[in-house]
Amino acid sequence: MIKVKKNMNTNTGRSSRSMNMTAFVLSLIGGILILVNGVMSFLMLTYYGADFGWMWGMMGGYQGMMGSLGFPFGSFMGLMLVALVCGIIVIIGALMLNSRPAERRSWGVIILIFSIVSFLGMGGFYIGAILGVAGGALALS
Amino acid sequence: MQKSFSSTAILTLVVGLIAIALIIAFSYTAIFNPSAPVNDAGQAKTLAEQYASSQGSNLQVKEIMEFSNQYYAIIQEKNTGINAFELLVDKATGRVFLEPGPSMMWNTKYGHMGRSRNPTATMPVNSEQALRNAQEWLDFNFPDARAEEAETFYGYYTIDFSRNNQTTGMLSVNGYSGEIWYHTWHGQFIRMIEYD
Repeated sequence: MIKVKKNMNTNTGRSSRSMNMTAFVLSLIGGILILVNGVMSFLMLTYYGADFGWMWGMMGGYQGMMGSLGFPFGSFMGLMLVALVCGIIVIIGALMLNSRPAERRSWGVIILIFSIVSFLGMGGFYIGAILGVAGGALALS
Repeated sequence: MQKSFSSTAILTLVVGLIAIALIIAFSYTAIFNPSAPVNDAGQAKTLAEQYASSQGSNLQVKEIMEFSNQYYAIIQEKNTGINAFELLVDKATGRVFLEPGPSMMWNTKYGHMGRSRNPTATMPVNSEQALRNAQEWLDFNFPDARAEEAETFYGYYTIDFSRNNQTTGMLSVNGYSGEIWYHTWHGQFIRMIEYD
């Protein structure tokens, strides 16, 4: 009976470490994708800025260019910056998850929240945000 | 089992959320959206020149057209005399845009899509054929309208059209497929200034 209990503990420990590692890897990849997407979008908006601003505006109707129905150009610049911040924080969360496994729930929440918020700025081509959410959820489980 | 939220994590959460809130708040202000109304064609030309010089030193403003929705500018290459691309200058904000549509999608040298390694203004569809295509399209969509001179760009032509000798609109003809792209976004034509 005692022997069986011992084996279960070992398995649980291994499983927990494996889940932590999976959560770390998923969150890290997600964070990197969110950051890369944010940087790329920010640079593209800076380079082709006005043109993209116009196109976004156009999606709100041709009047978008006149600033009436379309979103202001700056709001898209802002959303890309939001993605940048989220990417950095998800990466920090992933690294902390790895270095401080005892605090995994706290960092799981951080990863989850900022991965969801990153959807505002295209969330690492959406794949990054999904990986981040999966990593955060795994850390919480 | 972890009982409380880590203080470092709380700090990260608070700092992150504040940063995001500030970015979103500022993105709707003048800091992210600098604007200055454009009151005349001279100002529009200056802004178009600034945009053109950012794309290369070999470019100049050839023509400015004022429409009710915005100013339209043709940018020309100094050395070849070939029209490079078309710009729009927003009257309300002074923001300068590469014109969406043909200039962005069909331009084989300066556009965003389908740039060619050897861009040329000599195309399978010549200017006469482009004018014929434009007139056919006009006859169907704007009876009584007449296609005017074709402006040649890399990959396409842009043609003004008029009714009763009064310019009323603009369309583009693809230099390879002969396809028509009507410029729906200008509004009413007001005046035109050509530069040497």
